[in-house]
Amino acid sequence: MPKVLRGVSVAALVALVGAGAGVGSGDAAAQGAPPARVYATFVSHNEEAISNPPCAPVVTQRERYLANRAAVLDTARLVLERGGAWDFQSEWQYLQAVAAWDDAAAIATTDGKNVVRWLAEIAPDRIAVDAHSHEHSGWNYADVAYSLQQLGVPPNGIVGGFIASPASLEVWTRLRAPLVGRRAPYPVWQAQALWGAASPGHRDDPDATGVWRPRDPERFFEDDPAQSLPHIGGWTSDEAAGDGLADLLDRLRTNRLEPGRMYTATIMIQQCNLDSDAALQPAIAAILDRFAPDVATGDLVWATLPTVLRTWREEYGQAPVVVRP
Amino acid sequence: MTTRRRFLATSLGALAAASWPARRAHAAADTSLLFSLNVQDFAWPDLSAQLVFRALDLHEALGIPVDISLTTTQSDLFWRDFPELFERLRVSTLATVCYHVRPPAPYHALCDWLDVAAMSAGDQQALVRRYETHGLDLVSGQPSAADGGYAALVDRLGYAPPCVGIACDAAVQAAADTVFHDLGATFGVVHGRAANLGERRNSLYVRPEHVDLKLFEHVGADPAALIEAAAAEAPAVRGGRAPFVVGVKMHDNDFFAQDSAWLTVYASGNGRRPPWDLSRRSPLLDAAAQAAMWSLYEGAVTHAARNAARLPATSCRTLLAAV
Repeated sequence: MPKVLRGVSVAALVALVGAGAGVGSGDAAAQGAPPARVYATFVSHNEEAISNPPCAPVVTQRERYLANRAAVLDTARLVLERGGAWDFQSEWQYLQAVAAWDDAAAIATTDGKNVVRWLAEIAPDRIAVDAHSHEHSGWNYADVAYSLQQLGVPPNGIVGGFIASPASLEVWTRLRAPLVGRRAPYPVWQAQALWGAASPGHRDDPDATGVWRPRDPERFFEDDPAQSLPHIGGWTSDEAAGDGLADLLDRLRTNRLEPGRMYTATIMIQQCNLDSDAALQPAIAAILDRFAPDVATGDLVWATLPTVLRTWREEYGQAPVVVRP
Repeated sequence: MTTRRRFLATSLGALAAASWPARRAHAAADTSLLFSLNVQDFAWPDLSAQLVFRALDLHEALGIPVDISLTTTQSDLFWRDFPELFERLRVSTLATVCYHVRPPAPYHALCDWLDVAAMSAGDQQALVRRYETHGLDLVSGQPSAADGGYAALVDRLGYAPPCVGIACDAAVQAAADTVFHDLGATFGVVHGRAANLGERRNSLYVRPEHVDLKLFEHVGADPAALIEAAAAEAPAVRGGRAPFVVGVKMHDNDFFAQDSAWLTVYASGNGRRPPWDLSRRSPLLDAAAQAAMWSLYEGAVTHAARNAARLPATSCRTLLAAV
């Protein structure tokens, strides 16, 4: 396999080869496709209070909510200052807290906007606000996306976590079609991309890097160009650590990945710990610093999931990649 | 390396221990205990409430989670007459309030006095919805005018009880499951077969359970031995898939009465159709029998606490985060 191209601007390559170059080819680099790169983002979750008691105060106690809000803002600034990317994924209950507790005093710190709108608008290529839903307690993805919309965050179509394994228990194929909410006003929402394939209890998660269109529940790792709903792999999705990302970059540098393709990884952070774990924000900073050289060489691009999706479509011609750890 | 699997299993997962770091060690355990206390004795409400207080004290002292499953009637009783208990249940992070259906709800498998099984699916759903949004008249078996049922419990708690026990005739189960799902329930309780995490019954997930340890049937036995035997059996249950769950089940009436109120009123020779005679009450257990039952239960919870690192206790709220 030839050494992959690095250090060339994507824009330049797009200008050279145009959209669609290298699609489906095993020799994409030779055809002038964009260089193989790893696209990574931090992903954070908040949860329903009932299912996560240690984090419940963030959504049930105003004082703790505001402390966490301040930490969220600090984290956003940290990520932006260091050139990182963050997908802030939210369940329904946090959004209710935002609606209730982002009062005039709170939004004075965020340009007059509530926290999720501020996050979504401050640097859309670097910070995205996505829906996250376990689809419990009478809520589903359409309802969460609607709540975001009510808070001023337009739907971006990212599915922030879902069950895919075992195949018999999957919940994702229904997301290929428009989803109707379970609550009034019963909004209709259309998923644009899946992220976060999981298994019950996270015992056998279908981890992979790359973007592809899963064929069906039994052939989740097969790309089917006829399908319209791609999945963005999170690779090992380490928690506040970069070892998995380092491993993926090492595979890239040592020519163990197919050239001309787009690889993906995510790093999890738990939102409720941003204000309660003094080590978490320094850990995020350390990760960003650790990989700064890889960003400089062009091997690594920090990009939100919507940006990854757009890049996969517009710059990599939807060339499918599935590599399992 | 800490993977997302571990991250999520940790952040959403096992709640067996009182301290957060200790829970991390439990995330990978293959077999868990799930203590459930079905609270239903409308005939002896004071004793029922006292028992729930006592069980909460025990579980919270030992850091062992427990699912407290209320009927619509017990939800109303506690809400109205025992507000301190209801509030304690509501805010507890170790107790998860769940819900179960008992006669005279006509969609209970043992009490179809309205011939619900013969209704259309739409009519069945409408009927279940009417019951689960209103109180229940224990004499007539009809929904009352007051708010009640599962929907009222959701409002009172501020969360949707994740697990519901709704044993229906096969012809009614789908309609009942649909209504409870619409109202916010996630898991339906299933006994008698391997119920694996992630599997569904209609629109509800099944609550994982591989062994149904009816602790109340074993007064005088060694609770540690009972639990260990059940835990050993769970991975071998046909059709089972990890994570394995041993349900450790009790009812409030087991601790103080010879029979449950609902069996006494709606099943034991009292006719299967309304009106029902609520003056019938089961005799109480004598003091020695009550002490023996409590000792059994206390021993079981204590054994769980002592072995939490090896055999963690889970709950419906933990399971909620796992799907």
